Amino acid sequence: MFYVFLCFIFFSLTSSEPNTIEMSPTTDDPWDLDGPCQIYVEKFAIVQSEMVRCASNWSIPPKVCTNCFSQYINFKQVEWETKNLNHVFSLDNRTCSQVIYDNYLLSYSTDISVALTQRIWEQSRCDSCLKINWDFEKNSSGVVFNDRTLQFQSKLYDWRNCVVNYTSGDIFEDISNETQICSLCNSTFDDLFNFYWNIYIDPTTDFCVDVETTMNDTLHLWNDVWKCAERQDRNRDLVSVLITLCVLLVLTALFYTATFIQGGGKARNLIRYSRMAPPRGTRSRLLTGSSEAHFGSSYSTVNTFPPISSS
Amino acid sequence: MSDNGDRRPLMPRLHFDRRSRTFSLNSIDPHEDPVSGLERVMSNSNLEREARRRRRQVAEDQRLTLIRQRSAAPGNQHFETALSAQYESLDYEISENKLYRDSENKPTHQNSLWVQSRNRWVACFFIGVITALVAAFVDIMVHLSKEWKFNVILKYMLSKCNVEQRGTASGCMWETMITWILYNCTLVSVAASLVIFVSPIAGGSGIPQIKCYLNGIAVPQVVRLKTLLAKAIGVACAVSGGLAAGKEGPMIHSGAVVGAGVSQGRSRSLGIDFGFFKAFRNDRERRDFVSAGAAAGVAAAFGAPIGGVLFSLEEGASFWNQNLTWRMFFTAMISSFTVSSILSWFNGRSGWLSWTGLANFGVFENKDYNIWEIPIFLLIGVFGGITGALFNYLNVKISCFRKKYVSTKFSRFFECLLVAAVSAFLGFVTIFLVDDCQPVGVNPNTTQVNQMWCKKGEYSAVASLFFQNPEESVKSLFHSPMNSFRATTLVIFAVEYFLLTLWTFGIAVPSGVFIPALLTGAAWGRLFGIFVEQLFPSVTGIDPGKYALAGAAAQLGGIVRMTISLTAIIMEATKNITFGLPIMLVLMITKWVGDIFNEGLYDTHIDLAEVPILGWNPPKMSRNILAEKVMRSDVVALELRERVSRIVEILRATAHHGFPIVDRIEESPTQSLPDYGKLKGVILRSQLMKLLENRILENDRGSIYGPVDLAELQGDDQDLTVEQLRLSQEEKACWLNLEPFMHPHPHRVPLNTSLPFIFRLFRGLGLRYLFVVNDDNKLRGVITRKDVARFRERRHNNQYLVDELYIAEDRSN
Repeated sequence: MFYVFLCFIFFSLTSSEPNTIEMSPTTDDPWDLDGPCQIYVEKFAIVQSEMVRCASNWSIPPKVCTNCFSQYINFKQVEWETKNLNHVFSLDNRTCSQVIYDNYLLSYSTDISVALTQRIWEQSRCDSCLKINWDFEKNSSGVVFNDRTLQFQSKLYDWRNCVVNYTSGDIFEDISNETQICSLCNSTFDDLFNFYWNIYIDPTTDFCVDVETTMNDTLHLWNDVWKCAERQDRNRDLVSVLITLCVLLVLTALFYTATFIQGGGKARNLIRYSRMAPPRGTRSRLLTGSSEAHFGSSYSTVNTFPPISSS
Repeated sequence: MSDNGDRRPLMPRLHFDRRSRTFSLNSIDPHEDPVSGLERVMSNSNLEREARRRRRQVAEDQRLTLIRQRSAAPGNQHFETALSAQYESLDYEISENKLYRDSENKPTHQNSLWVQSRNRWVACFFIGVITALVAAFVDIMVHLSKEWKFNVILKYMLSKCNVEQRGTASGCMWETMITWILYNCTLVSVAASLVIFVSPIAGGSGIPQIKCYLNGIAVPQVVRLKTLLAKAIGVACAVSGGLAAGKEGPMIHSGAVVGAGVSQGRSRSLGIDFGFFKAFRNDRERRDFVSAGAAAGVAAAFGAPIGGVLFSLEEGASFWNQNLTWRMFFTAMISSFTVSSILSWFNGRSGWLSWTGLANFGVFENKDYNIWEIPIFLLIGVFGGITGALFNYLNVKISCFRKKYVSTKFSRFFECLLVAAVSAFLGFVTIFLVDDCQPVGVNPNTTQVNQMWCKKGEYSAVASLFFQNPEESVKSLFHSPMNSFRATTLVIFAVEYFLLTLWTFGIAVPSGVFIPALLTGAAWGRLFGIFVEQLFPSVTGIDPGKYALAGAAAQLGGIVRMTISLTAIIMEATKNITFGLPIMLVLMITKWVGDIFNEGLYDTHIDLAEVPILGWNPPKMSRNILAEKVMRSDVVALELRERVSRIVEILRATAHHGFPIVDRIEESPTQSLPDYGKLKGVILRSQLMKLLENRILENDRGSIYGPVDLAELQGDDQDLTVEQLRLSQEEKACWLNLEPFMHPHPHRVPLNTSLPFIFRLFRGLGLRYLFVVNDDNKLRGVITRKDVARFRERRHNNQYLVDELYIAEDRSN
């Protein structure tokens, strides 16, 4: 039963009954220069509102990609059509595309289109889950779900089937009473989780928001509501951590003690210039000019600065 | 002149004494008896001796008071009160000798002036581009290593472990841990070997060295290609090796090396001379290019061109002019532009030029702050000042210990490995101990997470801090949503990183302190944010990110005490001017609080290296220290025409880099020092070497005067020794006429000039020598940078004292 319900969620995607243009309140204002274009705007409004309704409906949890793609395709189709209305003219002989897209200070329909495309569809990263093969000319765009989404779905179903098999009637009531379900369906859950996790932590591949929220809710259900989560046991790594800690501590202590005992710095030749003795030896001789000094053959290079104070 | 004046004699006749007698005009007392006058003149030398004795007495008294003050002050260590004699000044002064003047008359001179000013821009362009290339190289290496380490090795180890330990009771995380430690140690050992065995000056951040260089000190090897290579590869390895180190400080050093190298058009490490930019081969031009290079380095590191220019201004510029500023800005912009292009290409978004340098801190979405938050920012500033001062205090202690005891190559190498191993282990053990598991999906931006010991569907928030590069951690502390990190995690992380940074800064690897300090500060700043949020739960929209930013600024400011450049750098790196005021306030408070306790980290390390740096201001309480006391009077001077043998002996026996030229040197009848004649000029050691090398000698019959290239005579340091010149005995008997080659008007001051005045001359003009003359322009002494820098002010018991530092002459003179 649950399975059927889920199937409905996932694949009841396209069943929106066609809202026809006849239902829309077409105005016929004789003063309106853009009268001939009005009908297209109204048609656009209907597909937009369909998309808005669908997105709002699927906002807790956000699952726009898998549930609203047909609305999105419809909306994009009409958007494309309004942008290519080159054969319909308003009364001042401009094409309806021009009228709709670059006539006024403010264009509600454009703003809504942008919001739907960018804020809703693109931010949900829908491209990570499904690919739409656009074919505006023939009005026959199609959807292909990518492999990892389908795989995720089948693994999710496996787990859900497992849960459904071991319960009768209302799953939430049944499971809060008995906790056996954790061990019974652990393997399917592990399977699902590992598949999801490996893709999740990979920076190059993504899931769309639908899958992520589905998985987050599943995790929440499994970990927190049914309390099936097992903590990783830290204690079994405790010994190795302690050993490494000891080794590093001993190494550090030994190293610094050894350097302290061995080192001590070399003796330095510290001089205070204000208390320097008058020069002697070579330097004293160097100070005197060549006209007076007697330069012999001895070029002794003695250190001519006896340290006045050294440590 | 009036008649009156003519009639009145200069010396009025004294009518009460009619005896005809010649009055002594030299005597002070015209009535002095000639005999006693003669005696007085005879006893002049006695008087002089008496005066000298009195002077000595005064000097001795001053010394004793100094010693008394010193012994009263506790904790005076020799290490902190010495200057090393190994540092020389750079030659900023142009030697305006006859050759230099004559060159203006050459017909090609006009053209060469134009070429020179064009080449300055060309050189700056290349400095910017090459600095950026170095920066991009470092960044890409670090990035690749990170990918390899975390996304391949560690991930493999973790998943292997995950499979292995299923159903068993024994853990296998230790394998991961050991792999991690070994990986880090390998990379760090590369960095350490480069520093220890290739280029020791490449260790550390390099900012102190550049600061010294721009202050006018020739730190040996600091701007060599070898240093650049060691620095760039070393810093990539050190950062990849998981040390608490940043790549920004080394980038600034690298930029400076590039600046020095490109502008010289040759490499001494490789021994290649490309032959261009010959006009820039002097310290004066090179200094400008080094400051431009440093600015380019900052620009490349943080994507902050204005910050870079301000950094050069704040840290280095004793010398500044508008043209240079503009060229520096150009260099910085080119550098930052090139880095953006390369990195955006590397990251697969070529053409997108708003990449923010190496330290990419991300952009703040929520930029609001309220007036009531300012006190909290100030509080953060106070805290940053205190922790920064603590950091500096402890780091100095550690560095002193290192300098004294960890001095052998092996021990320095081993210390690096130890730090690397402990850093990796600490990261691991923190993940092990801190139970901060967050469910996935809390933070939609981070998907590279690790489960570690968390339950399924949760990730370890600590692991996400440790398993990425520090810059990314800073970014996630700035921008993660409210509940991404728990308070305990932040405390532990901040303390741990603080200690690791403390330990790491100063080991023999190229490592900066910017990013570790920012990271520490961001962690405790975020903690402030969490507290504020709990204090005022009713106020919505408190973003801990901006407190993290303030904390980061405060911690870094507290350590390095930079002001305007740091403000600009942080503002540019976060691309945000809104937080300009809070960041400035935080940094201001931080500096005030920190300065109560000690100096900035870079200044302390400069002092530790015993570099004779001249600060912004002369020491207080030094007005009564006169040139007489500052100068050294045992000057090795030359006469205008000098015997080659004497020059050779002087060059061989001394290490002085310049020699005053006086008209004559006579034996003094009274003193052991000779009596120098009038100061005529100065000649540099390198010029003497050049003259001897080219044999521009005169023998007793006439001159053997060869043509000299002007460019070669501008203080160009050659590493030649006198022996390499191979002068024959005949040549040694020749004479060298120094007059056309000397700089004829060196700066000079009279004997009674005060220290502050001398200090300002040195600092403002970038002098290397200042000669002290008496009233007759007779040379009495010479003042070099060390003579000025050895007077240091110190504050003790709220009083300023002037200390005289020791000079450590560890090499033979």
